[in-house]
Amino acid sequence: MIILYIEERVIHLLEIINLSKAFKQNKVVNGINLHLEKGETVGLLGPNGAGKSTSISLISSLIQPDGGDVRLNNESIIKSPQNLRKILGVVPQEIALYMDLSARENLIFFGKMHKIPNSKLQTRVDEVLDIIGLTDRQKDLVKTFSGGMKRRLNIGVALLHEPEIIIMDEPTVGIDPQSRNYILETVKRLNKEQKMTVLYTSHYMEEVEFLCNRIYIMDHGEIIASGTKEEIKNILSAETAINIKVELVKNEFIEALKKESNVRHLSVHQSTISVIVPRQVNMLKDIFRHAESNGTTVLSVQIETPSLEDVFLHLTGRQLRD
Amino acid sequence: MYWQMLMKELLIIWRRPRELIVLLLMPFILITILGSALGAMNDGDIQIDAKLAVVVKDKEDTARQKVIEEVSNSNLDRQQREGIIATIQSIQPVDLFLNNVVKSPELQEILSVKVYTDDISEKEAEKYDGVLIIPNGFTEAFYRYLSDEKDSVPAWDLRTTDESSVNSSIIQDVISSYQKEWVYIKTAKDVDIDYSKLTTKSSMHVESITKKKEISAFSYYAVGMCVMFVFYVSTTVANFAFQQKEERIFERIILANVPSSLFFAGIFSATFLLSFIQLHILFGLTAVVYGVIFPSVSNYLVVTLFLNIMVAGFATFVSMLSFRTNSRNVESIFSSLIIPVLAFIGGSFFNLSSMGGVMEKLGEYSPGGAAVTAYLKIYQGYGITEIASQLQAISLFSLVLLIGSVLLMKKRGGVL
Repeated sequence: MIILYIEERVIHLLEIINLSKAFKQNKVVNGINLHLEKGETVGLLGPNGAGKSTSISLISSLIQPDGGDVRLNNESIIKSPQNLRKILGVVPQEIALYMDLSARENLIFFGKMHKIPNSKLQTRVDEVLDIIGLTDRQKDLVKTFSGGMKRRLNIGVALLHEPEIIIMDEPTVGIDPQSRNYILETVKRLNKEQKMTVLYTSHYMEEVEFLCNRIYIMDHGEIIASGTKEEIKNILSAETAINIKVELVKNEFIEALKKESNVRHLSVHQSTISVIVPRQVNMLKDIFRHAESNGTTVLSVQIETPSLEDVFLHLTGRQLRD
Repeated sequence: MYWQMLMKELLIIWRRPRELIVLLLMPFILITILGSALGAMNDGDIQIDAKLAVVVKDKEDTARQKVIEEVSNSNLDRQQREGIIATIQSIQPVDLFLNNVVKSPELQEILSVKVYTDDISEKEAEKYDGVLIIPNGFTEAFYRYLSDEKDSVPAWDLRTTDESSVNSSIIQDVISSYQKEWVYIKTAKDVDIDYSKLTTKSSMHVESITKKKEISAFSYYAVGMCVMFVFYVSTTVANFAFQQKEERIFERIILANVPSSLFFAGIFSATFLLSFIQLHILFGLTAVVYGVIFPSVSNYLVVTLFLNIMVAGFATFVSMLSFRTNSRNVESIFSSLIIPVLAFIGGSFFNLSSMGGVMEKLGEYSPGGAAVTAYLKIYQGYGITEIASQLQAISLFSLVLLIGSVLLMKKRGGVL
């Protein structure tokens, strides 16, 4: 754990302070604060358009912020990002690879860009190919790869120069479950075995729950909640989620539930209506009463402790994949 | 790292058969089609038809009689008098030019001459590639030069419409070569040699200068299409470059602490090398298949290198502009509009210099036109000095493109 104390101020491996960015009049990132400690995996959650990718570009020094600072071991990297870039690997959301080159040629090219000495490069490429499970396909052109294989190589390129910090921007978008699991396991292994610090953004709550120690939730360019998984879930600790599965969703039934003063939040997903209510309140009686008066057949009722998804919904009013 | 950047560009294009076909096969097919079709229309050759008006203000017969009379009445001894009179009677410089030199079969094919005895109007002069004025008193002065009474001969006044056009060059060559003949005549007289023995040699000299290699339809379109398609190398490479930005590959390179200038140096070098290879392949093919051979390899290489630098500058500029505007449209506009227009103006499709005026100037000094003109001239056998103005134009364009690229790069700090 690299946490140094100087004049009672905690020095983080990477610290983002009041970072802001606007494109024309549109404030995409609005004064976000977050930090990474060595060896931890941090999740950055947010729906589309929340400002996650812009934040990543700002943090990785690809765009200049309008305000705020990015500090590596308490040194600002805004004006001279070279030190950060040396220890940073970025996995972009896009497949940033040369499709007309083979997997090995891509790795060699980016290895040269990272100035890995020739004597070490071939060995390192072999190691990375092994990590991402593409040793057998190393000579094939990337354009012949499946989506999952491309994603794995996309990660492999970011690992070449053995970065201390890796930022992954939705690295599992659009791939099959098998490849997704492989990637998640790889990230977990890199974090555990190589003590790699990971900042992971995703649409998938379960990925963040699986990988991350701490989570930042972002919406409309702002961090609206942060903490460990438990801390985040505790936001809704005084509340209960009730999932009501009905035969047919009727507006009258929904309106009647919404009018109940104890219903803090209501959402509908296919034939399931989710309501969040105070834990001490027994709502079941009222739910069945409204169902009967509106001619709604209730198939099942499930009472749950709120999940991260529920917290997210509660905080943003939107599903993660909205 | 720079080498790796360059090799990557070359490897990518090598593995894209569609681009290779467009850059190599397409121009060769067009050379074949245009060369065959238009070659047949022109009976195999593109005709050079230089037009010269000669305004003769001189009275040759009167002058000759006057000088002979003066020599006859002079104090010179008889033998000297007879020698000078014989020389004068054998040489009539204006008549020799109008009835022998420009009426030689070789020159008649490419040069038509009309003789005027009075000044011609400006409107009339516009019909010609050149107007030659033989001043009054020329013949008399010429004979006095032969008889050592004068040190020099009054020069003929030649006005050409455009000094850099092929037609004007032919006229200038013919007249300057003929004027050099006067020195031979004087020398022959001084050393007492029969001028006719010298004329064979000297007239051959005139012939060798004026009889430049003819431009066949195949050779014209080989040059025209090669120059047009070499510009497509630049947009192809610029397209790859922008694709690297769109797919965030460029960002990956920047994150590896590689300066963006190195990325664009790779674009410049790759375009330079690819266009160099492309031109050699295309000109090599046209040489083997259609016999289009440049008489001087070194001159061909000079023009090619100048053109390659300009095309590389073009690719860098288009890439930089695409990056700045963050738009693929820039490359599309250049490849679908600007290059065809430049090719048209530059005479890749037909010889614009035949239209005269502004179009002729545009044709010869536009980026493509300067290259087409330079190639055609060296194909005809002209030297580097005769294409200096075209090389200057190409250098200027290259410089402007590179300065533009640097300014675009420095316009905003940070990553492009």
